[in-house]
Amino acid sequence: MKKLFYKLFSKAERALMMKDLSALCRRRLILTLLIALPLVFAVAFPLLFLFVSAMVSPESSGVEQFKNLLDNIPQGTDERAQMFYIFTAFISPMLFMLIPLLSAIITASYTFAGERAHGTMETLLFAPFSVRRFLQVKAASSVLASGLVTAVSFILFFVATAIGDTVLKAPFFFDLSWFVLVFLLSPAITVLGVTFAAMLTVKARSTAESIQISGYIVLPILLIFIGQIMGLYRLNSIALLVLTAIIVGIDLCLFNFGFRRFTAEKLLTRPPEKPRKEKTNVY
Amino acid sequence: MIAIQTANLTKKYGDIIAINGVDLEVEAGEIVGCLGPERSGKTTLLRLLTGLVRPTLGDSTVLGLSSVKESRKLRAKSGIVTDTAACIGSMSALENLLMFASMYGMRKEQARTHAAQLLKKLDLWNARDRKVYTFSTEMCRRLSLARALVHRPQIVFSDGLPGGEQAVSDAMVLRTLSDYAKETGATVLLCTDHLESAEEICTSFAVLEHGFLRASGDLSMLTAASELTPMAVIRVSDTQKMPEDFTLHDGAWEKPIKSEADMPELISGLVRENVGIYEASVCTPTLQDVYYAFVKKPGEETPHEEAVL
Repeated sequence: MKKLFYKLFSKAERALMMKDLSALCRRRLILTLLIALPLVFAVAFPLLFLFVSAMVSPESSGVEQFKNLLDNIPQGTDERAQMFYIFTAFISPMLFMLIPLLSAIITASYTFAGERAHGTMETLLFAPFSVRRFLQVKAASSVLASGLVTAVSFILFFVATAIGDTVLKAPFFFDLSWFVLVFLLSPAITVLGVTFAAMLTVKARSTAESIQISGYIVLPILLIFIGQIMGLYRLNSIALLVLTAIIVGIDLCLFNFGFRRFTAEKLLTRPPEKPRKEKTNVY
Repeated sequence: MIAIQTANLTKKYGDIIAINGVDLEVEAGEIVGCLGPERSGKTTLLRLLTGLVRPTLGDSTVLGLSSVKESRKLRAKSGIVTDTAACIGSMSALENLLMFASMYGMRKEQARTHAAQLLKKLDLWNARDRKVYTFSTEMCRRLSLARALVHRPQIVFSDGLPGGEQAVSDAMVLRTLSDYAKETGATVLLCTDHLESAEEICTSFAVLEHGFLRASGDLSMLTAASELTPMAVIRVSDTQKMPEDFTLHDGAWEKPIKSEADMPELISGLVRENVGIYEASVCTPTLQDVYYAFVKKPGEETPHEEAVL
């Protein structure tokens, strides 16, 4: 891995990546958000649902209604185990996908828009990189950081869900669909989030604004998984592979061609200030 | 060898022409003062030369490299400091220099040596481990210069230096730039509106106004182009009558002369006419005098001269 990393990035590029990664770690707010993401989505939600599943009454009509929406519920397990299975098979994938997406948006927003807000974008553009390569290396830094957050999240999620499966005697959650989700779709979504946030940098004047604008990309991803929760379709391993292929195609286009339209001039030009709304007194 | 060469270099932003047909040549090893008031195009010129901005017309080469097609190679040999480009606030001064040196491919030991030398020279050694966000504005300026010089560039572009309010800090910056240029033979393009600072270290000048290059060359060439001449300044008693070709200015009589070689004959002539001379001197045009021969002084009415094609 180290050899591959050294082959892909020159010494100057590695220096830039190390600077970006250490800057992310030094920024308390960003670090807090990146720690909170796995704790909330990978630990808190599974444990909460485990608690809810364990407390649910088998006679509750809500459980039956939920089961009627979905098929392929494993038989031979009690209501609590089935409830927890519904969570791990249908709801958790959506929650888990938010981790690489949101961490990608947060890291890329800080790496790109934050650089411009602090006046260091110009300084870094003075370095001997082409603009395209500069953007690609910064995007790679964000992908690395987000990838690390996702990997840690998965480990935590695995442990929390495995505890739930063991306690409730539910079927083990990790199947082929989860394999595709974690090892193929997550990296693709990470790159999508990073390149999307990077391309919106020109419109943002701060990290917070960049996160706000980039957050819109969460909606289509959520909608795909909400369809599954509503029982409209099931995202099995084949469907997830197709989705991965589509996102990888978008990633390749954005990463290689999307950055081409950027020039140093565009990156250095600050977007105009938004006109302030004048307060009017209402009598 | 020509370090900087531009041919009809032009940059338009919509209807505004920031740089208009600039033809400039700078010899290697020179320290060139690029002078001009605000909005004269100094920053745009610097960005065009370093390849950060594409020209609308014309081209430029720096160290034989095209600013447009070979900008990456060019920036590898350049040190650039502007008043808008900040160092990384969350890192210490030393960390900043080592990181940027590493980006230019310097080895660690060499980078450490150069960084230490520059920090000491710019009086930042005691603050080397402090985070840059704790630095004052003057310290940030000096650190930016150190960042631009740490990798021993062949050409230095500086915009906005000096520009602080502390004379001591400005003097340090100028001395560092000047010493660096002498030690390494590097070319320096110093974009500034501080004429005194420019006159101190620059070997030649380029005067910009509204995007036009009004004049370029060393001070003697600029003086000749401005048609300003040295003045003989004679101080005599208050009641003394002087010949008609002298004018009274600030309590002394002045007369334009071609050169100081004219002084002996002029003084002899006055003595023959029984003029009692208390003091005689030659006043040569300063950079400021020459500059304002090409550029309107602040407060003077200036028609908006930006050409619209």
